[in-house]
Amino acid sequence: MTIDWTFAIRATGVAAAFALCACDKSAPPAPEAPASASAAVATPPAAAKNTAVQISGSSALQPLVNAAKEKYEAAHKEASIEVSAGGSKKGIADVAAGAVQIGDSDIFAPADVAGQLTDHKVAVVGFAAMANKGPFNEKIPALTMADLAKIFQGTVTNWKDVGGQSQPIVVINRAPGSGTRAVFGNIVLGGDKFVESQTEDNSGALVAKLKQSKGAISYLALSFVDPELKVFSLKGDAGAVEPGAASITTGSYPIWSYEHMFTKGAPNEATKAFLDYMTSADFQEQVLPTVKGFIPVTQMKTSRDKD
Amino acid sequence: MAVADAPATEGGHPYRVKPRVLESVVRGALVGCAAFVVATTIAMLAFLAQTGIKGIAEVGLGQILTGTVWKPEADSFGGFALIAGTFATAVGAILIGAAPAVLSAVYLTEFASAAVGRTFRRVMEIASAVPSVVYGWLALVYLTPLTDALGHGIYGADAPVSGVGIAASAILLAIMIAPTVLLLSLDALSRVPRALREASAALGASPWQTAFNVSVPYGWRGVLVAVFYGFARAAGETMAVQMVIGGARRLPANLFSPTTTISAQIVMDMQEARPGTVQNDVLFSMALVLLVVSVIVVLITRTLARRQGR
Repeated sequence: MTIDWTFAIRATGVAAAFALCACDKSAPPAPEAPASASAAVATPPAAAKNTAVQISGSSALQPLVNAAKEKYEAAHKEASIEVSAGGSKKGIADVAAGAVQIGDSDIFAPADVAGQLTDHKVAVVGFAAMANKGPFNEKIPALTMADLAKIFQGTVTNWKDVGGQSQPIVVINRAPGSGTRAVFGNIVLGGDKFVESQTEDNSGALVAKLKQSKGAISYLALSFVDPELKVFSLKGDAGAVEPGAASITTGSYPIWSYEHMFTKGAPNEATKAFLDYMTSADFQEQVLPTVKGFIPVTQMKTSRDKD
Repeated sequence: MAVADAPATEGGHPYRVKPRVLESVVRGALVGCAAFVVATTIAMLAFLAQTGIKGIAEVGLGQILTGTVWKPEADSFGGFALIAGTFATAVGAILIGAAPAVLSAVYLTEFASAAVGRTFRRVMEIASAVPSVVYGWLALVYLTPLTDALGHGIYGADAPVSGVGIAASAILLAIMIAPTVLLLSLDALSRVPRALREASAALGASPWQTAFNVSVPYGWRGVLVAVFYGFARAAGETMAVQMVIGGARRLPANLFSPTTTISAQIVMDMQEARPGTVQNDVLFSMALVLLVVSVIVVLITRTLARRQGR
C-alpha cells in the first residue's frame, strides 16, 4: 500500500503539472490576441491608453520620425513612441485596421480607405536612382528619365548602353508594398512597370545590398544618400538637375513625394500631441532641416494633391 | 490494474478508494491535455484548408499551380515560379547534401571508432540545432560572394548572373539538412543487427564488404526515410532561404538568377495581405499547397519506415 500512496502522490504532482501546462496553453490567447494584432512590443494597457503611440509604415520616413521621437521623449518623460518600418502600404493597412495609431506613408491613401483616414503631411522627401559605385558608372553623372525607365523596365541591361563601361546592370527592387517603389514607379515609369528582379523589403537593408552588389542599381529616398553609393542626377533638356532641397522645392526635380502620417478617426490625446509636435514650427524649422533628405512642406513652391 | 485489484475491493483496506479517485483525475488530466493538442492541430488545419480552398475557388487551381505571373498587388496569382523554386531548391539540397551525409553515416557506423562516432554525433546534434536565421545570415555574407564568382565563372564576366538564386539556396539548404539526414541515417544503420555483421565477418568479408553488402542493403529504407525527411525540411525552410533566394517573382534564367519559393514569398507578401482580401486567401492557398507536399512526403516516409520495421 505504501507503494500505492507513493504512486498517488507522484501522480497528483504530475496531474498538477499537466493541469498547469494545460492552463498555460489555453490561457494566453485571450490577452495575447490584441498584442499580436498590433504587431508591436507589448505595453501595459494603461500606458497604451494614455501615452504610447504606435507607428508603422514607410521606411523612407522613419529617420525623421525617429528624430522627432528622440526630442519628444526627452521632453515628455511619460511618452512612449514606437516606430516600426514595413513599407507604406503596410502603414496604411495597419492604421486603417486600427492596429496602430499612426500609419506612415510616402503615398496618398488609396481610394478605398482614404475616406476613413486623416492625412497629416509632415515633410517632403526626394527620391533618386542610386547605384553601386564602380569604374563602370563613374563617367555617368546623370541619366535621363528615359534611361532610367529602360533600366528599371529591364530593356537596358548593361552600363555601357547608358554611357558607362561594360558591366551587367543588376536591378534591385523594393517590395511591392513600398511607397518608394510606388512613387518612383509613378513618376519615372508611369506606374508599377518594374522588371521582376531581386527584392529588398527595407530601405536600410537595400543600402547595404547596393554597396556589396557589383553593378547594382535601385531607388531610395534622399534620406538614405550615402557617400559609398552613386547618386544619379536627372538629365533634362536644360542640363543635369541634382536632387536636393533647392531643385525639389522649385519643382525642377520631379521625383519627390509628401511624407504622410495617417490617423483613423479622431486621434487620441497622446497621438495628437505627438503629431502637433511634428507639425509645430519649432520642429519643422529647427529639427527637420537637420535630418538628412527632408524638406519642410511650407518651403514647397509647387504642390500635388495625388501621386 | 483493475483486474489485479478486483478481488480485494470488498476486503476493506481503508485507503482503497482514494488512489482510484486520484487515478481517474490523473487520467482525465492526461486525456484533456491530449485532446487539447489534437484540437489545436485540427483547428489549425481546418482554418488553413478553409481559407486556402476559398482562395483556390476565387482564382482557380489551374491558375495557382501553373500561372507564371505572381503579382498580388495587381491581382495576378500564378504560383508556378514559387512552386518550381521550392522544388528546385529542395531537390538541389538533396543532390548536394544527401550523399555526403549518408556516406558519413556509413563511415561512422562501419569504420570509425566509438570515440570518433560519439564526438561526430555530438557535433552534428549541435549543427542540427543551429537556428536557421544564423545559417541564412552566414550564407548571405559568405556564400553569396562565392556563388556570384561561380556564376560569373560559368557564364562569363558580363553575364547577368548574381550570387543569389537557386544555387546559393540549394547549397545553403544542403548544409542545413545534412546534420539531420546524417543523424537519422546513423539511427537506421545502427539498427542493423550485430549478428548480421558478425556473420558477415565470420564468412571472411572485409569491413568494406560488410558495410556495402550487408549493412547498407539492410538499412536502406531507413536511410531513404532520412533523405525524404531532409527534403521535407528543405522544402519548408523559410527564413534562411528568403535571405539568399533574391525574391524575384519569376522563373529564373539560370541557377544564379534571383527567384523565389512558396515560403519566402508568403513571408514577403503577408505584410500587405489584409484579412478578407483575395490576396490573403491565395497566400493561404499557397501555404496549403506547401502543406500538401509535406504531407505527401511524410506519408511516403511513413510507408517506407513501416516496411523497414517488418
